[in-house]
Amino acid sequence: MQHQATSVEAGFEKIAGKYLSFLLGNEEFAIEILKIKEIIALQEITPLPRLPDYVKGVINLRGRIIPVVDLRNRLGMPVTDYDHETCIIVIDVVRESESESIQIGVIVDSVREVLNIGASSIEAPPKYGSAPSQEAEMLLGIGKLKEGEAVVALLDIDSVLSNLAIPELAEASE
Amino acid sequence: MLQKLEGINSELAEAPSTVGQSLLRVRECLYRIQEVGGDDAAASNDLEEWLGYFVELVQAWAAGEDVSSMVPPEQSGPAAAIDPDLLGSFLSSCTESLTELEDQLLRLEDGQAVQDFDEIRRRMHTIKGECGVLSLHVAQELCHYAEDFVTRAQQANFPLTADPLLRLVDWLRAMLRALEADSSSAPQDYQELLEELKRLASLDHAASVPLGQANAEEESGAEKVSGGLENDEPVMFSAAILEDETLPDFLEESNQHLDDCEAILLEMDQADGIDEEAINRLFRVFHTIKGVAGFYDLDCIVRLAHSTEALMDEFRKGNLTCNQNHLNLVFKSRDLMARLLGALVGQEAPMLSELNHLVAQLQKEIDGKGAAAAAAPRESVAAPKRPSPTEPTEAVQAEKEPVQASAAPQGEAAATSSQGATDVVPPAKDAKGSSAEKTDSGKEQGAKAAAATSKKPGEAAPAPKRKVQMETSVKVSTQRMDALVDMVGELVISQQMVLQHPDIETLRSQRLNRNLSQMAKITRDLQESAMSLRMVTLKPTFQKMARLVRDVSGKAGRLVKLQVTGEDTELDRTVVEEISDPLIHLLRNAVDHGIEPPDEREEAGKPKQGTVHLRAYHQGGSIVIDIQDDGRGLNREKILEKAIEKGILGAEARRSDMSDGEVFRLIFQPGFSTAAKVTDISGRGVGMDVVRKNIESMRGKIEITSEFGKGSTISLRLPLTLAIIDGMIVRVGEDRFVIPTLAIEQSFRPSDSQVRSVLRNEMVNVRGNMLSVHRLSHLLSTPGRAQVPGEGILIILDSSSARGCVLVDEILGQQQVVIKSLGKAVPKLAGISGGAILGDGRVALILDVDTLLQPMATAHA
Repeated sequence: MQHQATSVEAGFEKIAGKYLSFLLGNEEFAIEILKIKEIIALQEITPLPRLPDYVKGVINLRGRIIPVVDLRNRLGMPVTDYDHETCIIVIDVVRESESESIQIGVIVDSVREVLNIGASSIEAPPKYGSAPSQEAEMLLGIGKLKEGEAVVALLDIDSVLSNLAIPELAEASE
Repeated sequence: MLQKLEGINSELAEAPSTVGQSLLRVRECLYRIQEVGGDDAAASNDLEEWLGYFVELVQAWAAGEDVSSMVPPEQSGPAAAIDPDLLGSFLSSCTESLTELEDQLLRLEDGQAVQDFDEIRRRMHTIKGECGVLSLHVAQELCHYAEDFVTRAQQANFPLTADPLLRLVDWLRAMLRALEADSSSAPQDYQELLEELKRLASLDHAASVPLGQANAEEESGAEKVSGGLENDEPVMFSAAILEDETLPDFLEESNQHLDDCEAILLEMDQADGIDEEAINRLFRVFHTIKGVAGFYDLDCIVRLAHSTEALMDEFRKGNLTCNQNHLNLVFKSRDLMARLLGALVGQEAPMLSELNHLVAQLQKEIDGKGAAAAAAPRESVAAPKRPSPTEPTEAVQAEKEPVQASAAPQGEAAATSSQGATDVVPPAKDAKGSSAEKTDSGKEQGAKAAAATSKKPGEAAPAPKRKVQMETSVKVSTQRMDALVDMVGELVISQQMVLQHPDIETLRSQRLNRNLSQMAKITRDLQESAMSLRMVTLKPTFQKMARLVRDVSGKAGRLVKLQVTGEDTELDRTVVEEISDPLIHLLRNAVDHGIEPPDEREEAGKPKQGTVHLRAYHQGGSIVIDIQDDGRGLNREKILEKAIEKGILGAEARRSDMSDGEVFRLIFQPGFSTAAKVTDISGRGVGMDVVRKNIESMRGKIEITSEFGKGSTISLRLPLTLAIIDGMIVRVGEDRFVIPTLAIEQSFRPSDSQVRSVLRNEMVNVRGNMLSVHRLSHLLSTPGRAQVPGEGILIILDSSSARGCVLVDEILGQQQVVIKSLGKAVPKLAGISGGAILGDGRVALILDVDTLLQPMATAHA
């Protein structure tokens, strides 16, 4: 994790910028806007067998088949039914092993707004106890909004989605 | 009108040169007017003037006056208004014409060819005409006298001296170069050349030149020739042309020619007699390559092509009879040529010594004829045409010939050796290389191709075919093509989605319906043509195989005739690429293992020559490729024995309860070989395993039928395309899956009595065979509705590695689907080969029968 709590203020400069915020339950998350390809309405998902629960299946994105991940499930949050606000954010995931980017959809409860988060309003992800929790590893940091009250968790979406496939991939191809 | 002028021109042969010349100007003006469609005021002006002058001249001449004092009208400045397109095409076609002309002259000098006056004159005439179109009057004039000279020489049966003509060629080259650099450049010094040509044109050679002098002229001519070649070396335009992107086109074209060449050679190899037409075609192949390579200044290629072509020419002339040895030599030069071309694109370059050796070999064959011809009285077709006095000269020439002929190429070789494979990246000598030139290069190529077809009546026969190919094909990157095919697939789906939309279905508008069905039709047509873009014929592949059979049969000491049918069958490009390897293995096997040695065949009462039949045809939506041989066939007992020995089968298997098909299938096991000894052709037992893997990766199937002692047939059943499969769409619970139809043996609703439970495994009795039943819902961990087999449908799946029966809820239908990958993010899943987007836009998973059945096959073993 390159964006650990050890990073000094300058480390946050790198991750400062525009973020798209969305809701999972009543928690607000955000993904770097440059990683986002598009936002589409929820579609019929074709399930894939023998994959972890959070891989909901595949969808047809204008002729291209891409997998979708339930972000609630992935982050260990309680799963709810989808409603009319549920949508899919299509992410361009960068993998070191691949030259070109890979598209993966993530299902979120609802999309909120585009935030401009400066380096000064970012804090390192919280640590619970000695070992960083799995969820905390998926965060770039915590963004504080102007009002002072609200916080938004800045997701390291590459790590969220890479952690999904690689160990599973090794397992599944056995 | 122009034709009439031609007629007048020939009638005026006796008239003073100025008359003919002015007629030329008239004609040229007409050309110009024709070119621009009558709107060129300057041209009509010129026409008027020259026509007037011409009439005056003729009148004066008819009256017996001295015409030489009459002043011609002002010449309009050369190339002042040359259209760059026109100039570009002129430059390229003219450069090529000159190369060929030079070659003809050289051959004339070497005495290798009969004096082909007509050909030379025709070429001169073409160049003259082309120069005329561009108002290059000086060049036109020079060509005119040269033409005259050739005509006189021909009439007088005088051996033509190439020296002045070669100087003309050099001059024209220099002019072209100057034109290329600067389209308005004035012609260089030409007076001397003009005078000489004039003098020659008016000489009466037959009477005035004694034989000895002719001989001396020949010699000095030869010296000048080598000088001329050296002068040609640093030709400036080559840098500019090599820099542009047309080189790959040349390579592709040449490779195509070489493929043709191979096909012809194989044909000749098979045929009993020597087909003249075949020789001609070969000649043309090498000639074309030589011409274009000369255009690019690729001397190595030119040399090789030239030598090969010269050999062909000997056959053509009947001086040599083509034998097996010669054929092998030509095969070799074809291969070397392919490697030379390969070297241009960065493949390993052949050694120069190889080239030299081969050229020397070719030369030896040609010289061999020369020496023989010199020793024996000449009986060649050329001799009777000549008056007897020239005969001794001929003989002397023929003896000298080896020296001359080898001297020129050798010098060339030494000079080019340093360049070698670096020909591709020449230093950018032409600093001036104008940008106009570069943009024109594409057009030049096209124009050159067109010119190639038009310039030589003698070669007209094959040329139109080539022209058509070039005009109708456009090189498109496969990526862009695939993108197009993808997009069209999307269009089809969204069109269907619109059509099936519930709101639209409720509308009762006739017009809307009509429009919608029109759209549906167009979409369907579009899809079909998009798909057909990917289709290519099997021809090149089969041709390669023909060569392979020839080589392998020679090595293995078999007499084999390969019959090929259906090579025009079209297949998806990807399939054609993949099919080559398996075919190589299968054909090698057929020749090495299948066909017996000739004596063995004779004992068995078969013709000495074995036959291998390579056949491609459509059958039920797929392509079948058969490899059939009339050899010894597969030995069932031997295969069983070997299988037991290798531990593939248990010892108890030596019984007749295995079907022939099952036994023969054993030969696809890795490491399985019944060959007693391993040769460099086959015997390691790897081949058939490779075949099976490749065919299966293409979702194809292999079937073997064989009769011991009579031969065997191996059939490959392949999908038309890898992108689309015929699938059966089945429903399990809420989900739909696509099963490749090729893997389905049968489907049926079982009666209760058919299903038995054996140790908690369900088995179904299908015509006496017990098959285990698997629930697709279990295999894919998805909820299914049918709990007992009687409620659903059983589908018997059969792949080369497994056979089984799966239970599905319902069969929804059968349709062609486009196979799509699930994306790189999704790990490889056992039992799933990809996804397909169905008519409603949803994704259905395509089942991979092999991996689907594999786990249960091992579990139940």
